[in-house]
Order: sequence, then C-alpha cells, then structure tokens
Amino acid sequence: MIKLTNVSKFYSPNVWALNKVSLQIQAGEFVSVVGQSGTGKTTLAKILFAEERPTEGEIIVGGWNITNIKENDIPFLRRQIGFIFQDFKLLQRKNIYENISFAMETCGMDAKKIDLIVPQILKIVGLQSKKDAYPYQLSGGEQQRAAIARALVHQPKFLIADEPTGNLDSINTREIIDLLIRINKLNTTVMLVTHNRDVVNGLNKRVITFEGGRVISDQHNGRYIL
Amino acid sequence: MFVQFTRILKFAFQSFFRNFWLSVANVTILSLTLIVINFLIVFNLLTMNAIDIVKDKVDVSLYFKQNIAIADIEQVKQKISQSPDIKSVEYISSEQALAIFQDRHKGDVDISKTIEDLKKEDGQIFNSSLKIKAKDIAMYDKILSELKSNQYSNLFDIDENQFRDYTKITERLNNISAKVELVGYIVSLIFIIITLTMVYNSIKIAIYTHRDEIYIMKLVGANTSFIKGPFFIEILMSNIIALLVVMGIVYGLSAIIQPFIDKLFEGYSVNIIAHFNENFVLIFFGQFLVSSIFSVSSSYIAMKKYLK
Repeated sequence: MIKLTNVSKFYSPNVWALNKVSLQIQAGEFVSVVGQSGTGKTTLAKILFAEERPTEGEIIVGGWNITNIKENDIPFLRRQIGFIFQDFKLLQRKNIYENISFAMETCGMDAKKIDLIVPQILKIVGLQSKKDAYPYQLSGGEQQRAAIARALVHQPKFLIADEPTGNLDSINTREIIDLLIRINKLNTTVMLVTHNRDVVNGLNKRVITFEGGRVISDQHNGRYIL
Repeated sequence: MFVQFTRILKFAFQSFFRNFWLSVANVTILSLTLIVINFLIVFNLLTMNAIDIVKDKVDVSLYFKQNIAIADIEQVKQKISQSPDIKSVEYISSEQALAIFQDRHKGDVDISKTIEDLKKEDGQIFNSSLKIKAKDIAMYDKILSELKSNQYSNLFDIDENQFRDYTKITERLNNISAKVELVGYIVSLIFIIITLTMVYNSIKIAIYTHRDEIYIMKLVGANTSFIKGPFFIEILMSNIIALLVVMGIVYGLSAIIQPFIDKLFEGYSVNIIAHFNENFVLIFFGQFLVSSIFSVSSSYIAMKKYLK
C-alpha cells in the first residue's frame, strides 16, 4: 500500500526532518506514528500527501510512485487520501453539511450524489442531528468528527490523522479513536500521528517510533516507548 | 465539466458580492482607464475631421491675364488635369467670379456701388481662373513648381497664399493633435499601470480572504483550474461591468456634446455616436479584450505568487 525507501527531507545540509526513512504500511493496517515534537512525524504525513517533496528517496502510494509527482496529478492523489488535523480546519461560515458538501462540490461531484453521500457519512460519524450547526456551535470532539466526515467524502483508501486528539479532552479523544478504529474496520488504512502515550498504548496496534528524523522502532502490537 | 463550470461561476459571483467594495474599486479603476481610452478615440475623431476639413479647403488658383482666349485656358486646364497628383481642376470665368463675389457681399451698399463704378470704367473686374485641388496636401509643392515651369506659365499668375495659410493651420492642428495624443497615451499608461496594480492587489486580498476555502479545496483534491477559475471569472465580471458603465458614459456624453460638435463643424457631418455605432465591435470588444488580457495576466501573476 505505502512504501518509503530511504526517504530524506533536508532543509539545509545540517537541518533535516527525515533522514533515510524506509518503511512499509500494508492495506488495511492501523499504524501509529509516534515521537516527540520535531522528530519528523508531520513531515512524513505531509510528504505522503504531496504537500512537501522529499530531498531524496522513493515513495510509492497504492502502487503509484509519487516521489516526483507533477503538480497536475496532486489532486488525484489527494482524492485517494483523507487527512485530518489537530485544529480541524472547518470553514466557520459554513454549517457541517456545507463543510462536507463543499469538499465534494469542489471536486466536481454532482448535486444528487452529494445529497446521497453526505447523510451517510454524517451517520457514520454520528452527526446527523448536527448537520445544520456551525462549527463554533459544536464541541471539539464533534468538530473533529465533522473533519473526519469531510476526509471520508472520497471514500479514501488511506486516512492520515495528524494529532487528531491534540485539542480534545479524554472523553472526546476516546470517541475519535473509536471512530478511527471503525473506519479502519471498513478497510481504510489509517496512519495516526500522535504523541499521546495513553492513546497509543490503548490501541495495541503497530507503532512506528521516530527520533531525530529516523525510525528507531517499528513494532506490531507495540507500545509508546519514549 | 458543466457542473464544474457552473460551480466556478457560483463561487465567482459569491466572491464578487462578498467583497463588494473591493469589486466596486476594481470596476471603478477599470472604468476610468477605459474612459481615458475612449476620450482619446473621440479626440482623435474630432482632430482627424478638423484636419480633413482644412485639407479639403486647400487649393491653388491660377489667375489668367486679361484677354486670354478661352481655348487657351481650356488647353491649360487639360494639360494640368493630366497630372496624376491632381484631384480636380475647376474653371471659374470672370463673370462667375464676379457673381460669387457679389453673392458673398450681398447687401453691402458700398461694395455694390464700387462694383458698378468699376464695371462702367472697365468691363472685366475679375480675371478668369482655374481652381486646382491636389489629391494629397503634400503634393502642392510639387504641383506649384510644375506650374511655374509650365510652358503656358506666362498666361497666368499663381495665388498660393491660401494654400500656404491652410498648410500652416494643418501643421498647427497636427502639432496640437500629436501633443494631446502623447499626453493621452501617458495618462492611459498611468491608468493601465494603476489598473494592473489594483487588480493584482485585489486578487491578493481575495486569496487572503478565501485562504481557508482554498486550503480545503487543495486538501480534498480540487483541480487547480477549479481553484483559480473563480478569480479569473471575478475579474472578467469586473471588466464586463466596467465596459457597460463606460458604454453608458460614452453614449450619454456623446449625446450631450453632439449639438456643440454640429455647431463647430457646421456644414460637415461629424457624428460621434455614429462613429461609435459603426465601429462598435472594434472599439468596445477590442477594449474588453485588451483590458481582460491585461487584468487576467495580472491575476495570473498574483495567483502564481500567493496560491502556493
């Protein structure tokens, strides 16, 4: 599904975010990428999403070599990958339904299909009753669920969650993690970038640990070791 | 494709009206630029007409000495008419010249009396003449030198004063026209630069205003053309509105100043509205095309810089 071979990201000869990272993630896996701040976790996510380019190495996503992906091809890559952030990135002037449908509209989906898919996705994330609410009227957990709903509109094969629980309390954190597990069970590969020890230890899934831009540990059914 | 296009239009309209005052500023500056260009068009039309009218009045007259036989005059006329530079040669007999003079001074008792006295003294007051018009005003010098070296030149005197006076007027008009045109071009250039800067900055502001939407669009995989499309449509909308505003102003002002133009060019047909109507596509579509190319290019540069 995802294969990185000797991927490095250097900002200058002595400043790097990733240094010769090689790893593979199989389809349907749930992987936690952990490490302290500044260890290259988010850079890895951004490279997979083609928001950043690697300085060297090779990246293959779903059999597609995206190492030197052309600008025009990036939208097609992003329609196969869902992305969620710590700060949700919801549009404040649009309600939840509009936030989700906007993502579909901008990709040219026709209105009938949008009307069919959005309620289904809202049901998956448990926000049917909040579809007319604006982001500021929702709790942090609900906002993150709305962001997950938006990330699911293209039924991605791969979902990257970059610190999705960073702004949430423990109850909302649990809800979001449960939701990600449910999405993973629907056969979507999930990469959870986090430094939340409790979340990682509670998952009992594969854990890849970063330090200084390098992979220092890759364990199945692993734990947070730092 | 159609769905994409309608959504691009929808987003462009939304953005145009959400940033209403920015759109108004864009339309105003585009309109001002087009007004200056249209002023130049009107000015050019008026000066060209004025110059044509003056040029039309320029001629050279040959005054035949008294008692020259009409057959000789006809021979001279025929000879001159053969020149490819000559537009027309008109024979005016001494009687016709007198009639024209009397008609011009109708009601002037003193002149009428003088004419009657001269008639009694000497039967012929005015000499017969040939009025020569050239095809081009630049040809008069050549025609004059040819006339002076003509084998019949001993039969007539040349009056080139009128030609010299009108040539001076034409030169002056050309000078004034060239200076005003130069100022017009400089003002147009300044307005074009202001327009380009304004459009560039308004796109920059629009991108800043929509930065969250743009980020989400990129995040979910919207095409670059879909992200950029609304900005281009928005600037084209400003161009269309500016053009409509300018057309209203041009036709309105033309209707107001036309009576003054009619008075100024009495006896000649100089119609500004007709000129705009006859050249409607060339003038207005041309202006729209050029202003759109400039403003869309400016938007493109702004997007290239700020949409990364």
